Amino acid sequence: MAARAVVLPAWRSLTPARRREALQGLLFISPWLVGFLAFTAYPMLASLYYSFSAYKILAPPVWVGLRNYAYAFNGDPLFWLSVQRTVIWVVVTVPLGIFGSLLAAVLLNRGLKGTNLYRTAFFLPSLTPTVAAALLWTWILNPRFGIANAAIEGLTGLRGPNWLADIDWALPSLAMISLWTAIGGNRMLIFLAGLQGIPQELYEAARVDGAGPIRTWWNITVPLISPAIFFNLVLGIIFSFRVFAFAFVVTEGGPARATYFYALHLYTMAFRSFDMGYGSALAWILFLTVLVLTVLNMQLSKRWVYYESLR
Amino acid sequence: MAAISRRRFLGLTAAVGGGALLAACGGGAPAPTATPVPVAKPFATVAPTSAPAAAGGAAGGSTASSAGANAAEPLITAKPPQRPEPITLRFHFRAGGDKSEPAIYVERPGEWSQVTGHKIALEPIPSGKEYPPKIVALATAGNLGDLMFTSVSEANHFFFVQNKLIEPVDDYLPKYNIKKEEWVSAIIKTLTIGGKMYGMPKASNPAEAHFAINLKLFEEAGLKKPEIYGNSFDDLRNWAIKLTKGPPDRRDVYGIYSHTYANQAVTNGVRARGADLIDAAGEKSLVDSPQFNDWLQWNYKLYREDKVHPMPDVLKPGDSNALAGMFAAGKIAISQIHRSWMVAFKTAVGDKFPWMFVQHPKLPNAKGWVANIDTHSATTQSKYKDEAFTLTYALADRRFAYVVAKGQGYLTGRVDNLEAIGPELAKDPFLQIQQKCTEEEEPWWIAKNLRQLEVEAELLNQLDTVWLGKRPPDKAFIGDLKKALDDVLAKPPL
Repeated sequence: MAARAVVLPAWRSLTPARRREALQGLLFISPWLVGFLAFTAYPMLASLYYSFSAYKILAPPVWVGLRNYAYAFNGDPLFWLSVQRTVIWVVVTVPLGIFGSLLAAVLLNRGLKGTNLYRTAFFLPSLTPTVAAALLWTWILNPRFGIANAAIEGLTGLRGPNWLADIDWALPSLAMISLWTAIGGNRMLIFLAGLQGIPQELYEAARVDGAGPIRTWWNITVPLISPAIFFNLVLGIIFSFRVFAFAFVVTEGGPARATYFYALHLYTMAFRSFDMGYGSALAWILFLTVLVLTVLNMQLSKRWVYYESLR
Repeated sequence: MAAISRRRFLGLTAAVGGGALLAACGGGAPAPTATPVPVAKPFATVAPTSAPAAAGGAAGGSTASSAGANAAEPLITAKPPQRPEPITLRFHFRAGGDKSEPAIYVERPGEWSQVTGHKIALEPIPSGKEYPPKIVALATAGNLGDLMFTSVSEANHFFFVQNKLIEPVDDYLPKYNIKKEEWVSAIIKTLTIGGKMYGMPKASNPAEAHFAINLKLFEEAGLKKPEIYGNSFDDLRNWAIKLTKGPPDRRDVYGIYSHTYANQAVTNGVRARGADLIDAAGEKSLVDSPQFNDWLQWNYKLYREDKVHPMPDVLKPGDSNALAGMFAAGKIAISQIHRSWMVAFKTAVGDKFPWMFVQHPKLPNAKGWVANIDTHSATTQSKYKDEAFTLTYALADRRFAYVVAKGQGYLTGRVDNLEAIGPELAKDPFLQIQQKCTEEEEPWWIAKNLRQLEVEAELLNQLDTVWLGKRPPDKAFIGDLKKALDDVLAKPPL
């Protein structure tokens, strides 16, 4: 009601020309608005309701209160198993991905001969569709016929691991595949843009003051690209928690659930067991977890992210 | 370039946007995407030269066809009542399961179309994970077709029954003079739920109740040709040890492939020893039985002690094409085999070497093999239930048995299979073993909460830890496995 009271007088106070303009604006954004309401807002609200119900899709949902959430935390052994696998994944792939992308960006920023060629070469893997990359790597990592083990055996005389067929190696193998597609992608470009945006005078001043490369890197480069690092960190965490496609295509969560990630558990519950109520609860737990981590990141960012324009 | 005023631009935008919105909202039920099967299909080219006699009379009358070898034999024995206008049935079928299943769905439906004058719009859906969600999505939208495939092994049959997506057949069977005794009793028992029978059996098979034997490797190893029936578990293991060649960590020839990556195969392995995997009520696992332990230890020895079984790094579990390739290449001497792998095996082996089939070993107190059933069912949303039912029967009758045996190399679930397929095809030793095993089938266990797929996933993932050497197959492992399976069985029903 309060919103109505505020909006209507404002609307009335507009001149006919301004009203027409406002309507035109609304008309322009209406495709997005309709899409957002129909395909994002409504499904999200519906899934929130379903998460408090026993919903098997073909029958109407039945309200069960917090039962799905209680079962997730206190009854479903695969919930904690999948959380553990996913947290390991996030802890491994996010820092490595950021570090690798930053390293690639720094190398490309050195102005070496053929930089454009290197930039294209680095960027190409990120253009490979996930499924294609996954299938390509299953052959590369085939323990008997793959080129990875052939190379290891040829160079060292030792037999390579069983990669995706081994309980201990499956998750690191998937991480390796994921990093191959991610390191040279958008993350690298964002770092590269950040590096190229650093004024050269700052480096020259540091050199005059006698700063070495490490000091220059730590006191000039890192602070000035810290917004890019922060941006990539937040997005990296969000995307890593959603890890699904590689495990779904390559390992189906195996062997022995070594790669059974949270999103795979969510998918299995919702679309294989048709336990859509529980699947919705899992989705909301994931959403809230990522939301909390993002807010936490935002808070912590005040301590280490340097925004020149805010100074 | 012509100028356009802002007013004109906005008007055009609104018109286009509004039109698109109206088109999206007012489309109604989408038209079937598949091409209807043409009525005038050239059946003479697919009709058998020795088509067996079809089953007895039908309520709708028999229709003679010159397409069959004997003009007096009907192509379709259950014919729906006449309609003033031809109709089109929408048929959701599982594509990509068995190698050439679409052939079944072209030839036999075409014959039904020819006789009834009705058309069929085939709507293939990939098998496995994709099939149930797509059916559920269609059903939720009220857009389910007239008939559809269901599978007991993929656990969707009971889910569809419970959610009332498919029609019971009890009212239609007497109407079309069809007796349940046409199929083996395990099928009827399995498909009867709450006193009503759901689905006409497309096929029933005893899963991996057979082993393929490379006789050339047997001869080279100085082993005599095995008997088809009556081999023991020790026989298989001893043969596998003698047939294996190469160093233990990387064999040139593996003695045996025992299928441990499917619930049906595990269940058969335990049943062959006289027990079951899950109790009859579908509420408790029975993996703490001595019989399960025997199965576990036998396979563990093959994998880890004798090292005569390919590990997952050599052969990806469930990859039947790779398995067929390794068998054909003489890299695996004895291979457990599912009936749906036959086409791949026959194609791969060709006439490279002599080979044969033996029945899975079993103890005197063995329980029957799993009844692994696929059906076709009229849907509850169909407006043409009689037509849909008669088409499901055309995909379960004697002629269908012949078409499947000839084209696919396996049998359906009929009691008169060998008679139906004719003397020439019935000579095939693999079909003979199949028929014997099919007659020995017993209903497969059903999780009371319908969570078969979760039970299977838990079972296979836990077993992986043993095959991959992470855990010994001891009492602690079996205790953990039992608890994990019982936890799944105790979950709320789907």
